Parts: sequence; structure tokens; C-alpha cells
Amino acid sequence: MGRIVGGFIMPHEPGVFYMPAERWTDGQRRVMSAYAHIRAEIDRLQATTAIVVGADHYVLFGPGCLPSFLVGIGEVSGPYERFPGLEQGRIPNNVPLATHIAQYGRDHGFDWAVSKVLRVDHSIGVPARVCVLPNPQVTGVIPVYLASGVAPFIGMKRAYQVGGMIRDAVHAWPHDERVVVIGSGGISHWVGMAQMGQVNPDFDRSIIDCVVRGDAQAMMALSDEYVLEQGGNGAFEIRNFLCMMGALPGCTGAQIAYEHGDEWVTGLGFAQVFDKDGS
Amino acid sequence: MSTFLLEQVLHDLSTRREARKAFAHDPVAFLAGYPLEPAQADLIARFDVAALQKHGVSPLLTYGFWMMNEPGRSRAQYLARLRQAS
Repeated sequence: MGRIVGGFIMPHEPGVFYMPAERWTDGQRRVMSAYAHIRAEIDRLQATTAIVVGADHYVLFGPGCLPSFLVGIGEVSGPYERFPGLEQGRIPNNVPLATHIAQYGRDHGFDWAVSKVLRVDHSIGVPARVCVLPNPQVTGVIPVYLASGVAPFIGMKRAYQVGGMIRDAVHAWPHDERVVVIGSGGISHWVGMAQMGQVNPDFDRSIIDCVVRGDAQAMMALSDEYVLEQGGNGAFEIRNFLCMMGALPGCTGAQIAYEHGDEWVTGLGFAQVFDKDGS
Repeated sequence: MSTFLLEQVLHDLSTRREARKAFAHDPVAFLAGYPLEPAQADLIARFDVAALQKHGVSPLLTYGFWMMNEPGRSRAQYLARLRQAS
């Protein structure tokens, strides 16, 4: 049967990947080490599939259709943005499991939007290319987009519930599958707003602390007004973290790294959540 | 004034190459293809990102619109324009 063997949060800040190696700062090196650590942990966990939960940045989906939560059930490629050293072509999907998640959800009160052909952006493409696909035992990346970048946003509690539904669907999967779930997002950042470039380290650390303590309730108690004030519009991406936490309910974890600096426009938080059954 | 329509125009200008080309060639003619009020079209033609945000347009779109269409394509200039208005 399927099993969730671990979870992660990680940022997808484009500035990390545009920076040429000769200009790397000490902070940039620590950030790249954090990505390498997650890559190695996915290998240690012998994960065979990764579910990456990301946010559209008002590019993939337009005013004509803004899905609340969407899973890619077919062809996947990307990221569509060109980053030095990152491939942009086909991303292998676990189509049978992705289709099962969509159908299981529809049978249990979660009406997924689905994408049969999906070209992902950096929020899914970066974790997939940098941390997941280098592991040869991984045979598929299942992309999940939440409405965590563009209003109207999915509710915080609903984001957590979607994660729980993913867990139930994976456990109902009759085939052997070791699944990791990645919540992809920056923490404080003001995308396109006058405060762009600011971060709020106290807010960032409080969010990472919630992830590490497995305290989804505390995160879900944050109002959108509070998150916007303390973390900016980009911090709504913590919904992606909540979705991962819903897939690993009550599980605790460890911070891998936290960085912020002039090199980037967001607080960069990395953490791992351990499955209670031994990961 | 429909914020959603403004968002559609900016989304087109952020994601569609042919739209950007047409806008750069003749912004007035390009914007005439949408049922915009003259004041709305003017905000876009003048890259008035602060006013667009005040009308409720997503900052993700104003930023993408600027970086893909404003001749300087500079984040610093974008932020200066926003901060000048606040």
C-alpha cells in the first residue's frame, strides 16, 4: 500500500537560481546546502513519488479560471522559467497515483480541478528539479497547486484538509509507494508591493516553529489580515506548508536552515517533518 | 470600473508575447481591443502601477506587467514608482 514517509518545506525563490556561482555569498551556500540536504533525505527515505504543493503566481492560471486546488494527472513539464543549469523539459508524473488522488478526492468531498497537460512554474519546478528528480528511485512528481498566490485564496483550514485527503488517498492506494510531500513557498515576502525586498524574520521563525512542532492549529489560527501585515502577500504560500502538514498530521520535525538577506526577496525556510512510523 | 477586466489585460500582457508586441507597437490600439473605460486604459498605457493596485489589481500582475512591458524592465524603477505614490 501507499505510505507517506516524510514531508518538507522549502522556498522556490528565483533569485537563488539566477545567482551565478562566482557571486555566491555564505548565505547562498547555506541555502544550496539546505536543498542538497533535502535531496539526500529524499534518497535516504527511499521515496518513490513526491507530491509537490505549490502556488501559481498569476501566470499559469488567469482571471478566466482560478482553481482552488488542482492536481496534475497527466503530462507535466517545466519550470517554464529559464534558470541556469535547470532543465525545462518533461517531468515524470506518477499518473496512476495522481489520477487516484483526484478520484479519491471527488469520492470524499474534494472536487479537485485537474490538469491533463501542465507546464509548471518555479514553485513546483524548483523542488522537482533540485531536490526530487536527482534521486533515481523517484519515478514520479505529482504537482498540486493551491490558491495560495492569487486571491481568492483557499482557506487555511481547507489547505490542511486537502493534505489530509492526500494522506487518505495515498493510504488507500493498493500498490507499494513511498511518498514524500513538499510544501513549496517563501515565508515573508511582499511580491510586487511597495515593501518588496523586506522580510520579517520573527514572523518567519514563528512559521517554521509551527512546522517543526507539528502545530497546524496555531498556523490555521492566523488571520489573512495578520499574515498580510506581518508577512506580506507572498506569505499566503504558508498554505502550501499546511497542506504538507495535513498529510503528516501531528508529526514533528526539524529546521534545516533559515536565511534572509539582500540577495533574495523572501525569508527562506527549510524544514523536514518526520513520519511517526519511523522516518 | 472592473478590476477583473484590468487583471485580464495585465495577464495577457504578462503571458502572451503577441500581446506585448502589439502593446509596444501601439498601446492605444491594443487597449481598444478590450471593453475598458478610457481612464482604465490610461492607467495601463501610463504604467501607473500604483493606481492599478489601488483599484484592486493583484501586485503579482502589476509587477509582471512592468517587468515584461515597461521599457526599462527595472525592479528598482518599479518600486520607485510605487513608493512615489504612497
